[in-house]
Amino acid sequence: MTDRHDQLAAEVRVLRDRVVGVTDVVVASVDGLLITSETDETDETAGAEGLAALTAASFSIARRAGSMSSKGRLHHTVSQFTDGYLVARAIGDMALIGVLGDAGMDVQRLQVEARESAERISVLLTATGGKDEANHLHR
Amino acid sequence: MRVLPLPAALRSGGSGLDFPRVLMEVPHGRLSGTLLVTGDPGGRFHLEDGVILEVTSPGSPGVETLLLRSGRVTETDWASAVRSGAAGRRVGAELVARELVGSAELQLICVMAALDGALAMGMGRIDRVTLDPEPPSSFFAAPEGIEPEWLSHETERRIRALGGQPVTPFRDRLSRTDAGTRLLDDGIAGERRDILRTANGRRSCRDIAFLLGRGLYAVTVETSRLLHEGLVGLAPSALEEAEGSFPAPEGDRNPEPAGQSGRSGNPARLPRRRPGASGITDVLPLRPVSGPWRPSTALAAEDRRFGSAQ
Repeated sequence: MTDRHDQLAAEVRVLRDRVVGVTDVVVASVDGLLITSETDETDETAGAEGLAALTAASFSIARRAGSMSSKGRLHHTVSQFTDGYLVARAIGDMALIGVLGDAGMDVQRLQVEARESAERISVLLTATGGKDEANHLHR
Repeated sequence: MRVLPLPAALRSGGSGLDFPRVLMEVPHGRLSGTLLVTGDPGGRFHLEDGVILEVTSPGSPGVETLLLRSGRVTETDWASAVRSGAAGRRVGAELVARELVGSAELQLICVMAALDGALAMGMGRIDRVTLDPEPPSSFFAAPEGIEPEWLSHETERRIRALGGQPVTPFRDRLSRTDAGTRLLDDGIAGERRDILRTANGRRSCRDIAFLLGRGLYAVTVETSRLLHEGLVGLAPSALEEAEGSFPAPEGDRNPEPAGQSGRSGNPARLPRRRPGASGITDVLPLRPVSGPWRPSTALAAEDRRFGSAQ
């Protein structure tokens, strides 16, 4: 299990390093429970758990909007702010990945890298037994 | 869009010193359009009639970041100018019209952002260069434009200067040393304080430049000085730690645990370059950068030239 957790942690760290401008990455269950994170704990921002909860909440609203308007499955959301971005991407049906970046973040590159990361994380999560295991992974 | 024939200097591996030649070798005589540089971090050159209007790259702060993060323009004024700019006027021109920024000041900031953007692309990896001949949709056209040849030469000079430094703008993440923390506690001022304050082991020079709204080159040069003085150190990157052992969760895994293959812990790694190893600092000595950004001698000369042309 520690191996799985290390692999998850390494995965989000690699994503942060691969894409210019990424500052924080969280992996959370769809209900907002933090699974793993690579966030700046020294900053005065929401923190990993807050970021996970808010990302999941906003993603859920977007998913419901898509469902209501018969647009099908939600793949990702991009919120752009004056000083940066919050990008959320679904990992299967039970989890999501949230990425915070600064104003210069390469969003196109992130989409490519995050899609691949999401697939690898999905394998890691399903291999450990799904959401119940995610609770154990939560640090 | 068409793919430009890459200069020979860019074909093998693609990064580094000869990048500025790409602008010299493309038919920019009266070129209008966007030169798209694909790579890491890559970027765009917006040209009109052979003159560069704007250079943007994810690797360096653009004009918007420099204006907003530095506090030169407030967010309210900015939003108002953008609304007007949406009607067809470029935001930069709108800011000047509202006297929020002087024309010469905007020109200097645009030049600085363009130099940083070209520097970021030149120091990164370049995969290919394509030209989109559509008129550039530049938000922040430099009022007087920027000469490609001058930009190329100045960028090349900066790349050479940074090539001799022990820190790279993107990959190296900076952490404050105990000496740095003591200096910060003693109360220093200016850019050194800001860099020390934000060097938390997670940020590169590029990240700090974005955070502070300062130029990439200025931050990198100052960081090199801090590194040389032992006030900041380099934190190992996740990519280096994961080298050879990641991804492939179902495949063979490197038995070496993550975290032990970092830069500092592996004596088998190649030695790092130290300041002055190439002798470049004998030719181009490092200058202290403190307080607000000031134009270099070359930029000041350029400003005077633009000023006299008005």
